[in-house]
Amino acid sequence: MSLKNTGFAGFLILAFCCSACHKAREWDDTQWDNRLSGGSQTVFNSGIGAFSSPFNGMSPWLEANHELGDMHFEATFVPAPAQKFGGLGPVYNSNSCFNCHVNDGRGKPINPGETLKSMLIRLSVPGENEHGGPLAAPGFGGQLQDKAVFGIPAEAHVNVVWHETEVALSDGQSQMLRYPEWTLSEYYTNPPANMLLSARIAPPVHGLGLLELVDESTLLSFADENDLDGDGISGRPNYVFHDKSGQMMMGRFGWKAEAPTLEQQIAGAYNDDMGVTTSYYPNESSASQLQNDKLKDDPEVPDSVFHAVVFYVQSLAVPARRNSTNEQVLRGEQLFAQTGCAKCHIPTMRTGTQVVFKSASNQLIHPYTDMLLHDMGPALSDNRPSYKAEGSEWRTPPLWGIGLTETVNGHTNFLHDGRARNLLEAILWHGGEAQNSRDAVVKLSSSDRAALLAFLNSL
Amino acid sequence: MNTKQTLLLALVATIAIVNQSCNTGDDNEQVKNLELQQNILNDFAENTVVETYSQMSQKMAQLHQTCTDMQAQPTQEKLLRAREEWKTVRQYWEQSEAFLFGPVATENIDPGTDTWPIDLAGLKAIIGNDDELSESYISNLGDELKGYHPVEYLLWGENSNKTAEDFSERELQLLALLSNDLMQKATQLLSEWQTDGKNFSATFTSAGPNNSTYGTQLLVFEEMVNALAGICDEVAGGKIGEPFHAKDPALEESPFSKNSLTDFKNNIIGVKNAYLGKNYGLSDFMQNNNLSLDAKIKNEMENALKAFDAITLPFGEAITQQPTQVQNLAEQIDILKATLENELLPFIKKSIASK
Repeated sequence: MSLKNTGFAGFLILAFCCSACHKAREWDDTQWDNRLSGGSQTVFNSGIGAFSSPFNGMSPWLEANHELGDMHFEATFVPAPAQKFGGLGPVYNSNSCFNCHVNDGRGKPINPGETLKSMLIRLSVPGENEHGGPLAAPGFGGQLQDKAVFGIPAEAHVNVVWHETEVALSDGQSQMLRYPEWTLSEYYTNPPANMLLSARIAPPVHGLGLLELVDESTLLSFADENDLDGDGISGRPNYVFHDKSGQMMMGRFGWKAEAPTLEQQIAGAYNDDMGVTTSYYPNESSASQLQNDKLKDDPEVPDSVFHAVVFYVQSLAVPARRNSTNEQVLRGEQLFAQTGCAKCHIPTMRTGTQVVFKSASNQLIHPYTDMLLHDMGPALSDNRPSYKAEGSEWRTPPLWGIGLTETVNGHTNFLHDGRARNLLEAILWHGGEAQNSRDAVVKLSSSDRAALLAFLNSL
Repeated sequence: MNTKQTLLLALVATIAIVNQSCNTGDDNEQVKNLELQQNILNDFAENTVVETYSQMSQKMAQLHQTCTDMQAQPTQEKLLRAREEWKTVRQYWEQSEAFLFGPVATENIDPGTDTWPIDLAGLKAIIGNDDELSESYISNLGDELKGYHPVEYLLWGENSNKTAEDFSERELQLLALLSNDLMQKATQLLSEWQTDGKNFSATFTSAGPNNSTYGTQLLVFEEMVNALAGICDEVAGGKIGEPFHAKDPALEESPFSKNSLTDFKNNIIGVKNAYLGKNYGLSDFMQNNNLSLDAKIKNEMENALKAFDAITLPFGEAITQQPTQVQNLAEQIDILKATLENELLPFIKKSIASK
């Protein structure tokens, strides 16, 4: 060993000693494994069950609760009175949670002539209710139930016509886009004039428990209602009525952030989507209509089941990213930031402190959402305001797991009404605050566009 | 070069050679595995999935034919034949539940086929009213009024003691229409996988970067193993566990035909068939790579299947009268599930490159 080498060895020893006496520093956020979209609540499952895995590290008691909820999430309701699982309808959209949120994933729209399977139509008339929310359509309520139990009339039948339009891209390429025209027919009673319709596909439900745990202050820190930084993007929170506390709260869930908690979201889905009453919403959605069953059986689902289903959704983990170190994907990740996508689809945040359920507490997560409302332009507007959300405003949907949609659900229909047939179409529909980002994507070279899509598919 | 350096060089060279020779062995092994992996997937798509769906669809057509014959003239002989045929169709359906992924799930075929519970009151109302029955009338009914179990109800009656004379004209008409609806779904399901249909088989067997459903072959294997563990979990925890723990026969899945235990057993037979494959199965891969785990899985499958034999009563009665046997059955299936999930799956993840 030469003298030089000896010197080097000495340096190594010195370096080792130094590092040994160094106090532990806080671990830089950038050093985390970037595949872990859900922090410690990430699962390495990229198959059809990718959205269906429970949180890690639950106690046996919580696991049992999750499983009970799982069973009831999949349970099929039948009309009351029935020996078991009674309570469906009288009017409804689906007979189980699972039939819309297939594999805990995403619903899809229909072709002309088909019946809605995993989506629904929200209704209202112009004006606001006493809490500033949408004004229920007389005789129909806030949601159209296009199905009814045997012998009872459904509220109306839903029809769709798809229109096509073409968008030119750089490199001489182009992309066809389609958009729906929804109409109702076979009304059970005369509808009010000016009834407003908003079509919504069932969103995936994984990771929602983590998003519920993000502190409101974290989400509000993303808001820039008056666009003070002048970047053209002005996210703002929705504020909606929390029926449990009787107070206004920040809205988090649903396409327009109309539900403040998962509990309320799920109680609403039981009530409106399936016609099943809970202690949270003990009155049938059709209570004031002629379809009312007049049975004294409410709530049709006991609290033990309702709470288990809420917990089930709250404790669904997030699938890990795939190919996150692939060169094309890394290039796409850069472009995602450069084109401004990441300004609303915020990649990284932390969940708040949760003392009851420590394994979800203070997790570094990558949901790619800011949970805020953004103006998405007139082409996406449903012209139906809901609390603070104007017709053209939609809540940034999380993108984690989006690349697994085809595997889990067998389709790639995105956006609130499922009009986009793939991720590129979804991007091209972005307008309003996202217009600049969308235009930037149009101008990308085709290989860069492919990289951007490869990145999205790695989520 | 001094002695130390020579020694060092020799050591490095030796290590390199040893490594190299190991690698060659690994490479051969890997090529062999890659070939086998592809064979397993091809075999699974063709000889397990398409074959099962094809059998199901054929038997379903027979059942529909018998139901149509009954409508022309109901006899006890035809009724008994229809019941046997229903059980045969069920056999293939339950076996197919060992692979509840792909179109059966994503195309919403399962809900209208095997919905349980059914809307018994609604079904009775349809039998009792004078609505005009037609194919479109049936297709407009909710899922809770269609599928195997409404047909089961019509064939056996609520107390499982129906005779050919008990059928009203309307029940016969409804039976023919409901069996037709079920037949169409069986045909659709088959066509979703068939190479001359929508060919999900191609998606399943051609994993790779250009495959938007399965980006890697590992994903397909995970899908298979997860489905096997999934149905074991469903049988042990749901189908058996829920009625058993609630001591409630009303939660039983095929109560009219008293076919539940056969249903469950066919689920496990489906798991076994899927694992063994016809010419190439997961089992072959495991025999090459982890013989002891393969033996363990096979042993646990046999234990689970044997545990069915100890139950001599229909499931609805066994949950209260043969609780030890029912509990043991659920436990054996749970043991199998745990091995599939905690040993087979990690082994597959470790052994199959995610490329």
